[in-house]
Amino acid sequence: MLFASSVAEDFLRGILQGLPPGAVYGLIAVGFVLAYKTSGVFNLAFGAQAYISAALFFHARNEWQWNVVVAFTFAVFLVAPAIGLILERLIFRHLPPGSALAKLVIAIGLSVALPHLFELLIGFEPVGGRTPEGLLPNGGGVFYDPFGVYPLSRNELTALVVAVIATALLTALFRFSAIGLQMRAAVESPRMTELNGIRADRVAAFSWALSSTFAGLAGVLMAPRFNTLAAPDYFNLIIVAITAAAFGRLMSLPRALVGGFGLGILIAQVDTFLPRFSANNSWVKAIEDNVTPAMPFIALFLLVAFWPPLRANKDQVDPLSGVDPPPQLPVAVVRTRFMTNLTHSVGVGFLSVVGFVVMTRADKSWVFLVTQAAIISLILLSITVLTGLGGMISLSQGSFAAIGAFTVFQLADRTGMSTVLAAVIGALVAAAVSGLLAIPLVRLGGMWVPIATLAFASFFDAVVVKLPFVGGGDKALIEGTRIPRPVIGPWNLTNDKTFLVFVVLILIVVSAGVIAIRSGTLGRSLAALRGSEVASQSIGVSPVRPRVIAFVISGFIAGLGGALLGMQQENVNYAGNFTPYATLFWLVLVVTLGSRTVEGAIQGGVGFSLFDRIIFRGDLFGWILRDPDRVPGFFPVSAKWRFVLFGLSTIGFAKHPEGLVESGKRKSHERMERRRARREARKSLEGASS
Amino acid sequence: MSGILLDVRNIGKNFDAIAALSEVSVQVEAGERIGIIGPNGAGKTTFFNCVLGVLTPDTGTVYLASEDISQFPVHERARRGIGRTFQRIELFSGSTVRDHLLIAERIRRGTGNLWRDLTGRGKPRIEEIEACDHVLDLLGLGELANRPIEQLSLGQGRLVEVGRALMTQPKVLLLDEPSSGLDHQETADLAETLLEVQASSNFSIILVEHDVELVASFTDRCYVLDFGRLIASGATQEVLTNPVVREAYLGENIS
Amino acid sequence: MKKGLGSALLVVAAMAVGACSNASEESKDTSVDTSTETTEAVAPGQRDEFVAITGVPGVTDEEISYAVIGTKTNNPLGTCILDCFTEGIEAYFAYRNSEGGVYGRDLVVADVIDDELTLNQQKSLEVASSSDYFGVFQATLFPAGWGLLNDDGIPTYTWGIHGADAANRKAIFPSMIIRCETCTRPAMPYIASRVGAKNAASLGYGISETSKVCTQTIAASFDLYESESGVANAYMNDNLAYGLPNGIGPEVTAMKAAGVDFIATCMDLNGMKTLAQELDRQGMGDVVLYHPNSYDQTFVAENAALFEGDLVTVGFRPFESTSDKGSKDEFLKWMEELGYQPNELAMVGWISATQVFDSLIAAGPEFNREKVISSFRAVKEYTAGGLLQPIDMSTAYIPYVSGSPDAAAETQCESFVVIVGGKFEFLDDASKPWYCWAPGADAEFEPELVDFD
Repeated sequence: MLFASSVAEDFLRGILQGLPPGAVYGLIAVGFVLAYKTSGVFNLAFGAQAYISAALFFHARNEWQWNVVVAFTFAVFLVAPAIGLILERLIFRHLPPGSALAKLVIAIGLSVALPHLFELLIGFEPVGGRTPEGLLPNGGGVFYDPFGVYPLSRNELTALVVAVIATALLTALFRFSAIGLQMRAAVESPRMTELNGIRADRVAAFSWALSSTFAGLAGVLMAPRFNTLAAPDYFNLIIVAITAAAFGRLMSLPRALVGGFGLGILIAQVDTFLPRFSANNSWVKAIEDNVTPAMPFIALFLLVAFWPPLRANKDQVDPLSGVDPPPQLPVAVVRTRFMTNLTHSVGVGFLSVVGFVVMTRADKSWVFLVTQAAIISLILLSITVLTGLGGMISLSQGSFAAIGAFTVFQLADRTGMSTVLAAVIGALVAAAVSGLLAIPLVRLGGMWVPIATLAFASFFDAVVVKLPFVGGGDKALIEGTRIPRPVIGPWNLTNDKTFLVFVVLILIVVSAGVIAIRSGTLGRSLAALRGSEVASQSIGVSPVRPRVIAFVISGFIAGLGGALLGMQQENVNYAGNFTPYATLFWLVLVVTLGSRTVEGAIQGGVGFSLFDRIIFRGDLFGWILRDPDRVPGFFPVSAKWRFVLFGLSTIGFAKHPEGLVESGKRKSHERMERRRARREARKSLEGASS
Repeated sequence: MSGILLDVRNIGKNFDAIAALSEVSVQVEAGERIGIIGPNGAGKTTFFNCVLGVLTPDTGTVYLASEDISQFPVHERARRGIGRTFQRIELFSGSTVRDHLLIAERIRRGTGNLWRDLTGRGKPRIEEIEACDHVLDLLGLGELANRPIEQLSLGQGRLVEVGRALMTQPKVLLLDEPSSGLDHQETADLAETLLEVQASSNFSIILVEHDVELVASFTDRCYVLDFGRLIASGATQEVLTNPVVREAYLGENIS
Repeated sequence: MKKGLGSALLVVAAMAVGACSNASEESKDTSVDTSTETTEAVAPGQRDEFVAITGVPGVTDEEISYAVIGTKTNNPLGTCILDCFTEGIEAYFAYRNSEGGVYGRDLVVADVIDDELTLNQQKSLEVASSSDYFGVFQATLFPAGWGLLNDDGIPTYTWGIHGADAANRKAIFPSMIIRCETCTRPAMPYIASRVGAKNAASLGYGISETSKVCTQTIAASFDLYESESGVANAYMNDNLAYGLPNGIGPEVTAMKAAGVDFIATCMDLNGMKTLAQELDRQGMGDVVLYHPNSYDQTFVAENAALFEGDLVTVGFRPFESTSDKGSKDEFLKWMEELGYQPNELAMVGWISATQVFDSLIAAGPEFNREKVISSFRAVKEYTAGGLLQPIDMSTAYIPYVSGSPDAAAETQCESFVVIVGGKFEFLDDASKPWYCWAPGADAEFEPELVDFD
C-alpha cells in the first residue's frame, strides 16, 4: 500500500516539502554567514536579533494595529539596523580584530540578554497558539501548486523568493562593489584597511547595519512557521543554520543558502523514505528513532569534526595584531607573597563566617541555595579547567553534567548502588565521553570547538536523553528520574546541612586539584598552547594530549557536579538543569567573572544561586534597612533582568578578558601599590630632609 | 663526532600554484653553523616549517641522526632534538620569563604526568629552576626571570625564545631572523652568547638571516634560496662573493 | 534561561499522557456505579465550628493561608498558566468565604510565586521553610520541588500533568489522576468508531520516553479493539521532532497513502495546529483529530475552520455540560463576579481549591497538615464536587503498569467534546458528560453515559 505512489513522485514531493523549512534554514544561514564575513563575529545572537524584529512586527500588527507596511518598515528597516549599529558602536568596535573567542562569548551573552531585554521594554510575552501573520494578506491560506504534487503557501513562496533574491544581491555586492571588498578587508585587519585610506569604523558600522537588517528580514519572513512566537525557537534554529552555513565553510553565501535548502530537503526525504524500510528492519528503525530527530546536529558535528575543508579554515590573525597591547597578567603573579597570603586569609575568614552563619542560622531554603551555589561552583570549575586553563570553549558542559546525574539515577535504580560510588562512576563516564569527543576536536581552530560541542549538546538533548539506559526506561516512566541521597557510614546525607558539608568538602578537594593542575605540567602545557601553539610544539608539547586531558578532567568535574546536583534535588531534573541553553548561561557567568581562577568559578556559583535571592528580591536592602517593609517598591525586580545583566556583562569581557573579578583585584592591587609608593616616597623625602 | 646530523633531501612545497620550495636539500654536520639566506619570499621560513613539520612538504624527506622523521608531528621532532625560534616572535602571554623555560625543561625531562600534578608534585623543582636560571644567566636575562613576558622589549623577547629553545637541549637549533628588531650591539651580543652556549653544548645551528654581516661572521657554510630554489651553497665567504648570489640577493647588477 | 528545545518537551509529553490515560480507580465491582455520593466527610454544619489552633503554619484565628507556585516568566508554550490557575483558586476561595469560610476562617492566597520555569525547587523550599503557609498550590512546567514538599508533609495541590512527579507521594494531590501510562483502553477506538473512522493514526514526539509510550499505547489500543470498533491501526509515528521545525509534510503524505481518517495525538496545541494546517494543504481537511491539549475556547474560536469536527478531551466536567450537578455553575458565576475569564487552567485551579476545602473538612476543626493529608487520603470516592470522575484517594497516588491486577480492575471514564463552528459541543447527552467503561478485558465495548456529583 505504501508503495502505491511512484517513487519519483514521492521524491519530487519530498523536495517540495523540504523547500519551506529549507528556505528558513537558508535565510538564517545566509544571515549568519553575512555577519561572519562582514564583522568576523560568530554571531550566535543572530537568532535573538531575528526574534526581536519578528516579535516587534507581530506586536505592532496585533497590539498597536499598525499598517503592514509601516510595521514592516519599522521592525526590519529601522529597528533591526539600529540594533546592529548600537552593538557595533558600543561593543564590537572596541574589540581587537582576530579575537574570535571574545566575540563568540559576547555573542552568547547577547543571545541570552537581548530577547529578555526586548520583552521587558516592550512588554511582549509569547501567546500560545497564535500564529504570526506573514507579509502578504492571507499568506498562510492561499496555496499554489505548480506541479500538482504538493502546494506551497503564499508565505512560504515569499520566504523562498526573498531568500534566493537576497542571496543573489548580497553575493553580487561582495563580488562587484567596492564596499563589499572593504567589508571583507575591514574584518581581516581594520588597521590595514585604514592604511589604504578607508574609514574602517564606517565600513564596520555599515556591515553591522546590513547583517542586522537581514536578521530582521529573516525573522519576519520565517515567523509564520511557528504557531507560537517565542525566542527559544529562534535560538534553536541558529544551530540548524550553522550546519547549513558550514556547508559553505562559513564564507560562501550561495552555498549557505544551498546548504539550508539541502538540509530541509534531506530531512523531508529521510522522513518520506526511511519509514518504508523501518517496519521490516529493526536497524533501520533504530536509525529512524535516533537519527531523524537530530539530523542537523549530527550533520554539523560530522562536518566540523571530519570534513577537511572546514578544518583548514583556521581563525584569521590580524597581521598587525602585534601592535595590540598584550593581555594582562593575573594579579597573583605580580603581587607579593605577603599580599597573596593576606588576601587568602581574608577570603578564608569570610567564608568561615558565612559557613558558620549558614550552619547555625540559615533555614532550609538558604541551606539549599548555598548548597546549590557550591555545586554550581564545582560545575563551573569544569569550565575553569577547559576555558581558563585550556583556552577552549565547550558548550556541552550541561551534557557532561547530565551524564553524571543520569548515571547515578540508573545505577541507583538498577543495582541499588550507593549514590556516592555511582557519582564517581558517573564522573568517569562523563570524563570518557568528554575525552572521546575532544580527540577529533582539539586540533580545530578555536571557534570550531564551541560549535561542535554545541552540536553534541543538541544531539544529546534530542536523542540521548530519551534512551532507556540514559534518561528513560520503565522507572522513569512511572516515577521520573528520582535519585536518593546517600548514607556514608555515620553520616546521613538526607540531612541538608550534612549534605552541604559533604558538597563543600568535595568542592575544596576539586579546587585544590584545579590549582595543582594550574601550576603543574598540564597547566603549564595548556598555558603554553594557549599562548602559542606552534612555539609550544617546538619545545615538544603535544598540541593534542594536554587538551584532551583537559577535556577529560573537565568532563569528570562536570559529571561529578551534575551527579551532586541530582543528589541535592533528589532528581535529575534534566529539562530544568542541563539543557544546552543552560550551558550558555554557565559559560557566560564564568567568563564574565573570571575563567582563570577558582574564585571566579565560586563567585559564578554564588551569582547563579544567590544573586536572585539577595539582590533582586530585595533581601539585601531589607537587611541593610533593618526592615523588610521598607524595601523600595520596585523590588522584587523581574527575574528577566538577571539574564539581561549577566548577558550584557559579557561585554566587559572585551575590556577585561581575565574577568570582572581579576580586573577588580588588579585595580585594588594597583591602588594599594600606588599608596605604598607614595608612602615610601614620602618616607624617603622625610629621610632626606632630616 | 662527524657525519651528517640533519639531512634534508629534495624538499618541495607548493601553495596553490606557487612553488614555495622545490628540490631543496640541506645537510648539516654535528656542531656546524650554517646559514640560509635569500630575499623576502624566497622560502626560508617555509623551509624551517617543513623541517620542523609545521608544514607538510609535498615531496622530500628529513633525516635527523639518520632517522627518518618526515612522518613525525612537530612536537615529536622537537623532542628528538630540533629547536627553533620564530621570525614573528611567539611567546606565551600571561607567563613569566622563567615559565617559558620551565615548561620546556619539564617536557625535556618527561617527568610530568597528571597524577603528579594532582598530588601537588607538579610544581617546578629546585633543580629545574636552577637549570633554567643557568640559561637565563647565560643570556643575560637573570634579572628578568620573574617578569611577565609582556613587559619585555622585543630584543629581550627574542632572547627568551632562544633560551626556551636551548632548554630542549637541541641537536639542531633553527634560528629564524634572530636579528630583526635588534640593534647592532644587541645583535653582536646575541651572536656572542650563542657561540658561547654552542661551545659548551655542541649543537648545530641553522641561521636564517637578512643581516649579511651576521651570517658572514657567524656561519661556516651557507645556502642561498631564491624563489624556492637553491641557487648556491658552500663556504660562506665564497658564497657571499658569488656574482649570481649578489645579483639575486643583494640586487647588485654585475654586468 | 534554560528554555531551549529540551525544556518544553517533557511538558508536552506529560500533558499528552495525562490526556491519554485519565483513569480512575473505583470499587472492585464490575458495573459502573452511577450514583456516587458526595464526599464531604463531615456534616455541613460543622464547617463553622471554630477551634483555636496554635503552632500550625499559615493558620491564624482569621485565616488559612496558601501559596501558589507556577510558571509565568519564560514559559516557552506561551500559554496562561500561573495567572489563570490562580484566578480559579481565588474564585473558589471567594465562593467559600462568602459562605463564612471554613472553621470560622477565611481561605486566603497569601502569595503568588512565579517559578520562572526553572526555579520551582527554590521557590518550593522558600515556601516550605516559611511558616506563613498551610499548604501550596502548584501549576508548573518543571515540578522539581514537589518531592521536597511531600517529604516535608506539606499538603500540595497540583495540576494533573506530571504523573511521574506525583507518583508515590501522599501529600501531592493532582487535579487529575494518572496511574497507568501503558494500559491499553477502549476509549480511543470507541471514539474513533463513533465518528465513522476506519483507519486511525497515532502521532507523538520522539523526545521523551513518556511521549513515545503515550503514542505507542494509543496504537496498541487501536489494535486490541479493532474487531469491536472496526477501526484499524493504520499509521503510527512516535518519533516526530519536537515542535515540528521541519513541518509534518512527509508524515501527512504517508497517512494519506494509508487512507487515514482519524488521528489521535500526544501533542501540544501548537503541534496540533501545524498538523491541521498540513492536512488542509494536502486535501485531508476532513480527517478528524483527537486533541489532548486544546480545551481552550479562545484558541479553538480563532481556528474554527481548521478544527471543525475535531474532538477534544476534557479532564473535568466540561463547561458545556447541562447537568446541574457539580460546582461548574458556581465556577462560572464566581469567575464573572471577580472579572475573570473562565478557561481550562482556571477550572484546574478551582478543582485544586475544592480539594483544599474538602481536605480541611475531612481533617476536622482541629486540623493540621498531617491530619489534612491522612484524612483526605482516606476518602474513597472523590469527585471534587462532581467535577471529576470518582477517585479512590487512598490509592490514587500509586502507579501501576499494564497487566497488573490494578489494571484489570480499572474503570475508565473519559469526557470529550466536539468542535462545531469554533465552539465545543457534546456528541451525545450533554447532561451525562462522561463515557465510562467497566473494568476487565471481557467487559462491554460500548460505554455507559454517566453523570457524577
